[in-house]
Parts: sequence; structure tokens; C-alpha cells
Amino acid sequence: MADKNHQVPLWGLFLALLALTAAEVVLFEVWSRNQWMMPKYAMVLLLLIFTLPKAMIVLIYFMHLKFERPLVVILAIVPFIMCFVAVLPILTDIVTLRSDSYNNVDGLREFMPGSDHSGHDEHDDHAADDDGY
Amino acid sequence: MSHATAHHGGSDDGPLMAHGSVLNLGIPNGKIAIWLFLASEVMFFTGLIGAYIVTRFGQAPGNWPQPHITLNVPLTAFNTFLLICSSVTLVWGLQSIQAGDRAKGNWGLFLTTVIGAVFVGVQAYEYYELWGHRGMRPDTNIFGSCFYTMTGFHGLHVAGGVIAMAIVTCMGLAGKFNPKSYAAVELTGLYWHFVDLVWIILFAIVYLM
Repeated sequence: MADKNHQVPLWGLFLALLALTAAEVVLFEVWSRNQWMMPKYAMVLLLLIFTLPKAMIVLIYFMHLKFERPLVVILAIVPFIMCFVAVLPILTDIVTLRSDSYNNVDGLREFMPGSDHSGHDEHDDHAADDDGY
Repeated sequence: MSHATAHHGGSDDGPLMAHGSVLNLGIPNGKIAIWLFLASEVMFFTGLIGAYIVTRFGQAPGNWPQPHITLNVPLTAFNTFLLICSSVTLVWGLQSIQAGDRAKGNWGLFLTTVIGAVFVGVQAYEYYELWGHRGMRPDTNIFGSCFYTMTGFHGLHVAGGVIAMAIVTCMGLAGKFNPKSYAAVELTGLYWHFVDLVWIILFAIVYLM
């Protein structure tokens, strides 16, 4: 899909994709029946090791990025990098959710309704109560 | 400013747009357009996948359904195999067209369309089993909503790709493609491979993790 008709090693890539997919499924099936073998995060890492080469084969060979002009490569790669970078910060939310600290408002008392720094006065809060809220 | 952009008379620099002539980057406009579209698709699916990863791995152990109990992993592995096959038949078809073998090229496009349609059919069957027999619906739990949102949007993309591939196949049967003219196959192929790429990631994240 570049300017010249580059031939890709089609059947070799096909076999590689099949082998990687089979390895993923076998790994998962074996692990799901014998979860004592390794911790979950190790299994996830192994799955990523199998998945990323598959994605790269499709991107580089099937989508012909290997043979494209630099501008097209930049156009294709930058969104992937930007999205990866964008996802990294929200991964910290995993820790927040795991620790249940999203329910922890101890450090936020001064910003809660009724506090001196909340921007609401007591009168407003009582008025809201009177309205049934 | 390049000659092409500065030239507002634009007789030799390609068609005029409202604010000047088209940049001549040496890359077909269609290819730039499809890659920009795919860039937006990357962001779309990243949003879904990122939200899923946080939701799924933010759960305490035992608070998330076991994929191999809830979902039909072997069936979906077969579906993954199908989608990989469709990408291979598409590349085979395109290479055949580029080599001047129109018959093989048409077979490649036809097979890609059929395999894509089978993928959608298998996914519909999976939904029928999950929704109808196992009672897993989008409002059952957060896994259900995540599952149907991610695989559903991907399935819609595949369905759209099948329609596009069917049109391209009809164009091939009408003799529209030859070794010098195959842009429609190339651009539709880029979209198709991207959908395949997304599925490879979704399969690992949703079904195996």
C-alpha cells in the first residue's frame, strides 16, 4: 500500500499470527485451570508479549507502514504514541480504585459543604434542607 | 510557503479549495484522508480500552467475572482466526491485482467479504448466547456494559467494513481495478487491517485478561 508494489511474506506472517494467537489461547486455558502456576499480572504480561508482535505485524506489513513515506509513518504512529501517553496517567486510578480511597474524603473536609472554605454558608445549606434536598 | 500553497491561480497545482490550492506532499489525498480517519479511530478505541483497563484492574480480586467461565473463549479464538484470515486474503487479493491477476484479486476481495460477514455472524451468535441464555446484558453489571460497548462498537466497524468490502468486490468484478488503478482496494484495506488490529488487542484484553 505504498508507492511501489512491495510483496510481503504473506504466508510466513499468516503462520506467525496463527502461532501467536494459539499460544495466547493455550496460555490462557492452561493458566485458568492452574492459577497457582503464576500470578495474574505475570500472565497478563505474557499475553502482552504475544499480542504486541501480532499488532506490529498487522501495522508494519499488512498496512505497509514499512514501505510508506516518512510523513505517512508519522501520521500513523503519532496517534498511537499520544494515546499510550494519555492512558498512562489514568492507570494511576487503578491504585485509587483498589485502595478504595475514592471514598476517602478525610483530606477533603475543608472543601466539603458546611466548612469554612467550601464557598457555601450555613444559611444556604439550611435553605437546601428546607427544600427537601 | 511552498510554490503550491502560494499559487492561488492554481492552474497546474491541482484542484483549488476554498482557501487555496492543495498541498502537494507526494502522497495521494485519499491515503492522507484514511490515515487521519484511522488516527481518530485510534483515539476512539483508546478511550474505550483505557476506561476498561482502569475499571477492570481497579476491581478487587473476585469482583470481576472470570472470562473463561462467562465468555466462550474458544469460539472467539476461532473468530480471531477468521479475522486474521480475512486480512491475509485481502493482502493476497491486493498483491494479485498489483501483479495483474484480476481473477485472483477478485477472489481475494470476495473471500475477505465473506469471512468478514461470517465474523459478524459469529459475534451475533455470541451475543444471542450471552444475552438470551446466560442472561448477561449491558445492565447486568459493569462488565456487561464494558463488554457490549467495546465488542459492539468493534462489531459495527466490522459490519461497515463488510459493506465497504462488498462494494469494492463488486467494483473488482466490474473490472475497475488493474495494476495501475487500485486505490479503492488499498484504502478499504487499510481500514480493514485497522479493524483487525483493534480486534487483536480487544481479544487479549477483554477475553483473556
